[in-house]
Amino acid sequence: MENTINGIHHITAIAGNAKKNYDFYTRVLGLRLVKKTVNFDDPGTYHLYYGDGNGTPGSILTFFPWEGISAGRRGARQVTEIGYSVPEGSLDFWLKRFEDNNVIYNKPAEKFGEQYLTFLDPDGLKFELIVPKAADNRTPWETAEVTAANATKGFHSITITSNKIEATAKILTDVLGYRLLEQHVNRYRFVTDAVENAAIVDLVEVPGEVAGHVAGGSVHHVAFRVPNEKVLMEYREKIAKLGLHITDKIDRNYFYSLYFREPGGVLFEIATDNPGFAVDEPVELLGTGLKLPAQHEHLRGELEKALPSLI
Amino acid sequence: MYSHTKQVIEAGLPAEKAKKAIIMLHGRGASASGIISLKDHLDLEGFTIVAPQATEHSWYPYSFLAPVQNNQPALDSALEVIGSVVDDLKQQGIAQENIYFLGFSQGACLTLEYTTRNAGQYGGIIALTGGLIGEKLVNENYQGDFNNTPVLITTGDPDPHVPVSRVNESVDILKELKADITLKIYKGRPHTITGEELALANAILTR
Repeated sequence: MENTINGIHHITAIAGNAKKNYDFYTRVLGLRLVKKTVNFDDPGTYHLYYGDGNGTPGSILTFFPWEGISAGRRGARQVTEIGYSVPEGSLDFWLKRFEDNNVIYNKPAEKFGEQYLTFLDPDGLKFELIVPKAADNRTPWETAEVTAANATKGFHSITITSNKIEATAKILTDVLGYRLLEQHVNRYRFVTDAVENAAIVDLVEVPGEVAGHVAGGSVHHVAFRVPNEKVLMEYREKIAKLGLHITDKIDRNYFYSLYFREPGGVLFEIATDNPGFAVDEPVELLGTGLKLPAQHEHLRGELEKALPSLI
Repeated sequence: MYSHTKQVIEAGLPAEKAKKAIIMLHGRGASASGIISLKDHLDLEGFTIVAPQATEHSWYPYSFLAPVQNNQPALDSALEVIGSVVDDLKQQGIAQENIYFLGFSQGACLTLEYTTRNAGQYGGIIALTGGLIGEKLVNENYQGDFNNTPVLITTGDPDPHVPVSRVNESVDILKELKADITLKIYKGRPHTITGEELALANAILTR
């Protein structure tokens, strides 16, 4: 489908120590470092992208590691959980791996008929490894320790917590093309039929919940996926017409973006598949070099010295 | 099951003007344009660069450790494509000892398989994470004399696709045929190419 939102593109969160972040995601969780660049608005800070072997949209988790940042707080008006899809039978592997690596986790549970395992990253960011009901045919990135039998395949879902979900739900259904699939107590599951994976957004309604605080260990924004800039700009018009403030098109080197804050308080981005992460290094070498946008290239010498070593 | 048609992407100098050539072989699911973009990271001044494209983005359907007949006719057809690319280069005036190979993953397996079946004096062979192909290696398939051709073989330990044991077996066979082997095994490295491997590749390309 051409003119639709194709599920989640990427999720961006905030971390503390860069090396700890790199070690956790590449080693413990077994993701590929797909791109090592800097925050375009703050080039003294890394922007690290983790994902599958090709950096496929729907698998991309990115971080701004700000050394010494205070811890955020989960709460309303936030993305509160990030769900990864994992193969059937892999949860025992992950339980043991989390145990061995001192990762905080909960014992597996079930929702909407799917088994999941909750864990926290070193900064307290909350994740779920979910065994999806329907087969997930995406090819995972494999490492020596996390092979295909257990590896994450990209996102399964995100959860947004709200005091009142109505306005957010309306954006999901009327603008982004999601539909309500099922509901259990206060959790409402929305899904888009445009893609097979990374297609779920859960809204959880907690009227009394205090608003969360975005800092270390919390989600900065979630990006939804469109095929190209033409569709991107169609969405810009659609969203602007609702009276919501939306940015101009921004060139992020690996995709083009628009940002708007949905009425429930979460920063949403819409991002294109083009040009992708292989635009400045071959797929075989993704994440190998420090990549700087042209406007910061003159700072390379300085930045290479200033940015902390990841290995 | 499928076989390949010869589709080749070119970069660098035109073959008539080049003294040296490199044949780059992409991995499973990848493409000729992807592997050829490694050129920006390699010392390929004066080279003509050619990269064939696998039909279905895969040189053969199953693991390189599967019984060979399961990977046919794709595997034989892939070897023929490489043979034909080599012949083209020779016809355009590039001597075999100035022909280099570089492959990653499935492309590295194919690089080793082709060159070891046709062992001779080449410029250099760079196999980034790969080994010879087959459920069991059949020594009779591998003949000739590498005459000290420099060969770089790298892999991770363990690697999710390429067992170290097969890499070691392959090295033994290539040594037998008088290849000058540099073997690098990286503990815990994921299935990827590192800067260090590129530096080792460049050492061969500029030797």
